[in-house]
Amino acid sequence: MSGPREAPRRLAEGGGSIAALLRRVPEPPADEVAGERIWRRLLRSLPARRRLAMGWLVQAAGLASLAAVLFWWSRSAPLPLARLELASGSVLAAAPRREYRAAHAGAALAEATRLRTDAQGRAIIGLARARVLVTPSTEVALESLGAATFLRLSAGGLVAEVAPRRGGESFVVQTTRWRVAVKGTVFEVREKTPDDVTVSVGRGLVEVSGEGGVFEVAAGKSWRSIEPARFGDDDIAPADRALLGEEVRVEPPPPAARLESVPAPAPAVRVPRAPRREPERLAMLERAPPPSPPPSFPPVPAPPVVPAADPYPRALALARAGKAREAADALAVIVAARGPHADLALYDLARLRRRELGDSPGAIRALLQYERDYPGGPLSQEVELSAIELLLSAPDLPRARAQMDRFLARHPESERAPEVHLLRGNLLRGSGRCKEALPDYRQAQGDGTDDDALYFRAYCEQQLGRTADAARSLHDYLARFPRGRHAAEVHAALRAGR
Amino acid sequence: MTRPQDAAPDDPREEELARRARQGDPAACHALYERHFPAVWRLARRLGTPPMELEDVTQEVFAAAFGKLDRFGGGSFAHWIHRICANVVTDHHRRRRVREGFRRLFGAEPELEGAPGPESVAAAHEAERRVAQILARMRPRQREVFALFELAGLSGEEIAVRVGCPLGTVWTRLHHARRAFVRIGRKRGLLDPEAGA
Repeated sequence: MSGPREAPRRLAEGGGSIAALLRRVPEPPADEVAGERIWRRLLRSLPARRRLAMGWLVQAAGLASLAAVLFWWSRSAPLPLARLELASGSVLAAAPRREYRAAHAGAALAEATRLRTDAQGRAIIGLARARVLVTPSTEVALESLGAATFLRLSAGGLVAEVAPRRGGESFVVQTTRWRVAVKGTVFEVREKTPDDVTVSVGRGLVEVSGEGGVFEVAAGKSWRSIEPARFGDDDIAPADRALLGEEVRVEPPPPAARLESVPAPAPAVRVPRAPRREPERLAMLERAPPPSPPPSFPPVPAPPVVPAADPYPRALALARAGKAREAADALAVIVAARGPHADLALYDLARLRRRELGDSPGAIRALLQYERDYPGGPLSQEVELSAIELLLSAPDLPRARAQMDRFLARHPESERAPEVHLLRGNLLRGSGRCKEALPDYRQAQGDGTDDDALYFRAYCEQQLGRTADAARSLHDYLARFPRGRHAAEVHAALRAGR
Repeated sequence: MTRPQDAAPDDPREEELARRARQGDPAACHALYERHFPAVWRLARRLGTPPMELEDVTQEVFAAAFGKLDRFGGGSFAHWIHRICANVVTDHHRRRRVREGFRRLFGAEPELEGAPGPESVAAAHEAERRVAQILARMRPRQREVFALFELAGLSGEEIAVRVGCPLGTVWTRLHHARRAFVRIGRKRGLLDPEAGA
């Protein structure tokens, strides 16, 4: 048995022409200017790339969350979706199919409730992992609450503090013409007119979309629809931030003074987060009128507790708590029992093995078992695609190819079929089988796949001696993707061919 | 030869930064970017990325890293992004070969990386260009070990951690990488025909 090998001497430390060559190679300096440029581009593309990269896992998580929510919903009392934490000045609320009535702190707000404040009115709505300050002269409808929160702002402004969204969760404020989607942030959205909407972001990142395009507003910035290309500084009023318990960077006017200036009646002020209050604000709260009138709406029952006996939610809770091993064991028991949710549990098990336990072979086994046990199950396409991805990264190319063949035979019309055609084309091209790859590239016509497909189609045509076809494909590429990922290479190839 | 090491120091705060970045906090992404940009830039260059492509490669590395933060299982972020960088560089070398294939098929000579120009008259730039051309044609695993040992000055143990293989494997790869370096260099006229490792 040999002992540990001694580290070899570096070539550059020796003699000869190679040593001389290596010694001359300079230390590459990092280009800070390029670094700044890269960061600006990265910042613009960050959320979109995150969505792309999360791929199948996000979609699956979304489906699984949806299933869990539906299950929870079906077994429990209605969820307490929103509560009026603070109402100051005139705050009116209209429950679904009801007229507006005065709303007071403590009132529960059901889905589809509309809320209106007058010129002196303010309200704070407590939502699931989010709080929204409704500013004066505002009209907002709580169209959807819970995991997919959707607020429709018809007039006025909102300041929102939103905890980072989990997989499958969304938080959207829709103005008349613009949609503001957030991941986790403090932001303000204000609609002056349908064409004049302002979004200010205090923390996090917000995506605003509408007919005029998609814009990302970063922390500390504000954006206005009438000048969408110009970003100003965040102008959320410090007092508004303070009301949400957000740290105030700019010295605010004394919060007590601000609230004192709000004319009566200020029916009640609830302390949303007592431990975080600063002394000034505590004083302010002490001065608020003490007794709170009864809520306008009947109280909603407390959040239902997931029954401890139900193993599926418990397994999901374990996974969320980071106890991956225990969660996997619990899911495996559910799968073996083949009871309710066994199919979802099997898919969750695959995800868990892959993501948390680093067990790709185990994940593949679970996915293939899903295919076997639940053909045509609700997640079957996702399962098959995930198996392809895992087999490619294993890499187990023959099985990946077989899996692709099966997917395309079963789901020829799937919206994911172009993606699989492109993968199979690449697999075949990689093994020198350009002739077989060509039909796949021709069929890879879907969002995000055309670019590569057309480029490699040209490559394969050229490899097969079909120069005229290749040139046509390259021209076609430039016509369709003048700024495509391979545009520079295609230009170079065409220039060389002239 | 002693060269400064590229890797940003391991720091437990990086896990916290990665966690926040995973939640979409751009400030955390920026902090990670600022800490690792110089190392990624240098590593990409050392692995043979031509200067014209460095910006694209670096951007792609960070975009991939931020997109895959869910898969970052803790530990050293520097090592994790190193792996991504090596993969992205390999992908770029592959795409460049496809591009050169096109050029040959259309009857043109393959493009030269950083063809001699006013700034590459200096011997250093010429050496850099020749080494990069050889590296671009080496196998990814061999290229990585060669670049880290011979150019970046990392120790075998450090390379083993970064690359994720036993120390013995590092030396084996280095042995084959040196042979490949000489073979490719001679074949392409980038090394003295008599040169040996």
